Amino acid sequence: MRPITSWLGKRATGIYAIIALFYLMLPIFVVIMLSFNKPAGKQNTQWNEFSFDAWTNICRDQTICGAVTTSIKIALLTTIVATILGTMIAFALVRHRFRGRTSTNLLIFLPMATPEVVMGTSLLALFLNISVIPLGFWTLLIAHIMFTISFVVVAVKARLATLDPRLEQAAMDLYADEKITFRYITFPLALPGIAAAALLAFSLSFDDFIITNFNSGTTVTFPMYVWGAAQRGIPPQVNVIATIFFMSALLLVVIAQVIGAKRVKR
Amino acid sequence: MQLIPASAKATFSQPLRNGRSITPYLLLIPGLAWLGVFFVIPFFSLLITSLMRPAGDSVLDGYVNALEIGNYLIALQDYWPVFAKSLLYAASATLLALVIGYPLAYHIALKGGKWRNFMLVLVIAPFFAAYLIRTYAWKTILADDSFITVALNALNLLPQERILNTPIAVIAGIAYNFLPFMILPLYAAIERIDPRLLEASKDLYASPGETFRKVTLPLSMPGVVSGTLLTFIPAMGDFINASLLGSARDKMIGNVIQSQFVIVRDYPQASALSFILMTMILVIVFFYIRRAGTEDLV
Amino acid sequence: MTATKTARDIQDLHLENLTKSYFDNVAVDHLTLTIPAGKFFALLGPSGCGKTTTLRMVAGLEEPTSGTIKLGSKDITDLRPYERQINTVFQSYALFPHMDIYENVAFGLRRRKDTSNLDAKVKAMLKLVELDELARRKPGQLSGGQQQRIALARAIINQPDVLLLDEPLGALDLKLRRQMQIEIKRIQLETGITFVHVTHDQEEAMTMADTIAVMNAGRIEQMGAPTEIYERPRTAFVANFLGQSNLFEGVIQGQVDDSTLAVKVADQIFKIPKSATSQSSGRIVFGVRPEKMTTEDVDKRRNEYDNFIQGVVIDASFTGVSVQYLVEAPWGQELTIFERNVDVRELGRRGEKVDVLWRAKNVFVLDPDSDINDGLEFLGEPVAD
Repeated sequence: MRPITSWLGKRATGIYAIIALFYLMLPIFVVIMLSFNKPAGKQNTQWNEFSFDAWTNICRDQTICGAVTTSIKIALLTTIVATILGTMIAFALVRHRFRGRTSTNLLIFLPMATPEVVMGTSLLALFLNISVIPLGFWTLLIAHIMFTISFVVVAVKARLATLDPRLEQAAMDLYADEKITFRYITFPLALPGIAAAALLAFSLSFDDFIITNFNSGTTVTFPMYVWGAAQRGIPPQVNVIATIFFMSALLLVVIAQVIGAKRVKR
Repeated sequence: MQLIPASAKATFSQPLRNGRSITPYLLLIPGLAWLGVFFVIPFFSLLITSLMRPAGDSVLDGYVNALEIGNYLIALQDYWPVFAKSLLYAASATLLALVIGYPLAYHIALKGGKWRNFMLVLVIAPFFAAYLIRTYAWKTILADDSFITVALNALNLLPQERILNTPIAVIAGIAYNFLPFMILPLYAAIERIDPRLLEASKDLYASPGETFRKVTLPLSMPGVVSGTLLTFIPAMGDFINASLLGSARDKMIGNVIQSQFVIVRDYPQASALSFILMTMILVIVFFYIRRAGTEDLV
Repeated sequence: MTATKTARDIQDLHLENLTKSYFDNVAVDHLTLTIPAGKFFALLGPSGCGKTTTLRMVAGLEEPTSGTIKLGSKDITDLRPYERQINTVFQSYALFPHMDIYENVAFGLRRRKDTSNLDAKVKAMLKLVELDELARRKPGQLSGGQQQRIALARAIINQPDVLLLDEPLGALDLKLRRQMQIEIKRIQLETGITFVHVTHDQEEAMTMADTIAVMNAGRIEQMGAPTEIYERPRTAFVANFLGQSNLFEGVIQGQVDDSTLAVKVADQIFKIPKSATSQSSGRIVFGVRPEKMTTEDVDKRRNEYDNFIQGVVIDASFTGVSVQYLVEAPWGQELTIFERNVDVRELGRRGEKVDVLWRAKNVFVLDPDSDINDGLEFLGEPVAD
């Protein structure tokens, strides 16, 4: 028996890892599987019959595609603004000395350490008390930018911290002024971090439900649509969209990994 | 061989390193202003709202500014069991995520080898599968006639003979949804440990178990602290898992705040609840960090 | 590649009262120094002596607290790094990881818009460092030695007035380091650029430099040709940091003859050449290099040497080319002797009595207020960090 137990002992964490990763992926398999389902009733929770219907008719229910479009619009604008603002903060934190560094770090950390319910309700309280902007697209955009900035800062900061400041000094030594150094050295080297931050911001915004739920007014985002449909029954088209989004994000991550590996090699 | 003209010097005359320039402030102001206006100020707005009182007899009449401390008393009186239940669910889910996540993070960091990046991608993959939809998928997985439920029932492991619509489903759902938040900091902390320390420990006669308890685990504590916080905090405010996976009796404080705000529109009451929730979390986090003795969380 | 500069291009580099302090900590202390044009100059000192800070101030990467830096008669103290005709080979090279070798080398010329014949210049430069076939590789694919050459090429292609080298060989292994020392020296001679080389490796400094300045605690201890500062160190720090020394404190007793002084150390009289010092009386500190001493059986060849100490062998270690003895003098001082492995005497045993012998002409004299232990703390410092 001894050889078998020692074989198991050596691979215990590996076997565990496979099980745990399977557990992580299990709901995703179900989501993908149910996108090919032809539900028997209104609820698409039970496997019934294989079908491409949902994939060929994604926009049969116009409200789904409208909601997806709204979500993409908000997520894109959020990504652009939050990535710019967050990257600027990350550069200031890593590359400059200034007064108020501790308070800045705290202000960046707090949104990540506050439950979304609290952020969502307090922002709603603000919008209700100062009714300048009606609840809807713009309040959602404001909210999404607010809660994604911190994540962008953390992602870009992590990348910048690994960059050797001597590379910038070397560029300056080789007749590149501050602007040229930023353009040819700092920015290209920070780009993978900025791209990762942008992808993160897009996913967070596209997927947000809790904060959105409080500040959406009558605007329907994709998660809001899903929430509303949950009572009546979620159509398989929702699974199709989730699958497409999941696959695209995963593809981007894999592409980034491959490029990263190539860069080191070649 | 031409030297840079003297005029260029004036343009870039800021000192390179030690000088106090305004550049960092120009970089910081837009982002911090956004957070100031839409993150900090709303807390005051929430506080003000939580002290309001109804303007008339109906909810539709709206609310006026007041100093209605009673809102808080009512909130605590009516909802303290919900707060307690939320705390219990969130803490259990955090513990569950730690128990599930630690061995996985350990394996990826120390034994991942060429699979390391692949496994990390799988860990963050759930992020990209929409929250509501992946939670909804658990309804299928845990349904009363599902393989898992039937199997566990056959073993007589389920006191209520079902998983869906019980606290177990809520806790498992929360643990699942925030697992990446637990694994990533754990991975980062374990990955930072110098493998030579583990070899030195083995060289000094420690068994694998002792090496883990005396070297690996203490050195990975910063990851444990930030992982548990990053899981516990959002778990405390979550209402999606309780709504989709739990029964009416399993509602958490997030559900109450959500319905008070969005459906009942009792803004002062909901704001008071939200404020109490935040205070509660701050207090817990403060004592937790002090006991864990670490402050570098980010 | 005709990188050689005409005589009129070359300017001396002057540092005048250069000071750099961080809060209360003075890293460089009123340093005044002229680095002669077209020469290979080494700043040698232990880590933390201020040599790298000095280099970074010359490069423009660090602002001096006070003092001026001049190239010829031109004050460059306040110029930005990219406004100076000075280039740096960084410690660990700082090659741009996202650009290939060709673009790394072309970087400086492109920034200066000096793109006529760019391709030919870059290729010639890669040839000079013998790496022309690697032009399209990325820095990450190169070995340490190759990266080092690229760093050198990237700087030299700009034909700077001064090239700064910050511990350039620190990351290489011993064999490669020797090879690169010769290589760098060759390139310096071929280009005629002033090289300022910062190092804590005394052997490296002596192999490569025309002039060495030994730095300690923010100041220059002694400056001169390698042979000069090795044979005639003026301070205990230099005597101990640059090679090893046996230092003695004594009192001048008077003249033995016209060219020799008698000095009393403990109860023994030693002869030192009069030409080595201007002192004629009082306390005197003198030294002898270990390789200039020899050991012998007691009372065997005392008459052939000017000075002897009868001591006891504490340790003898055979290193191949030499035998290193540690011998205790009657007054307790430990002497180090490197004996060449030519006249094969039987290896001294611990506890054996021996004579330590040396000639008066091999004695050097330090400043009279020298502390003979100065600089000893750096003896065990590793060669590469």
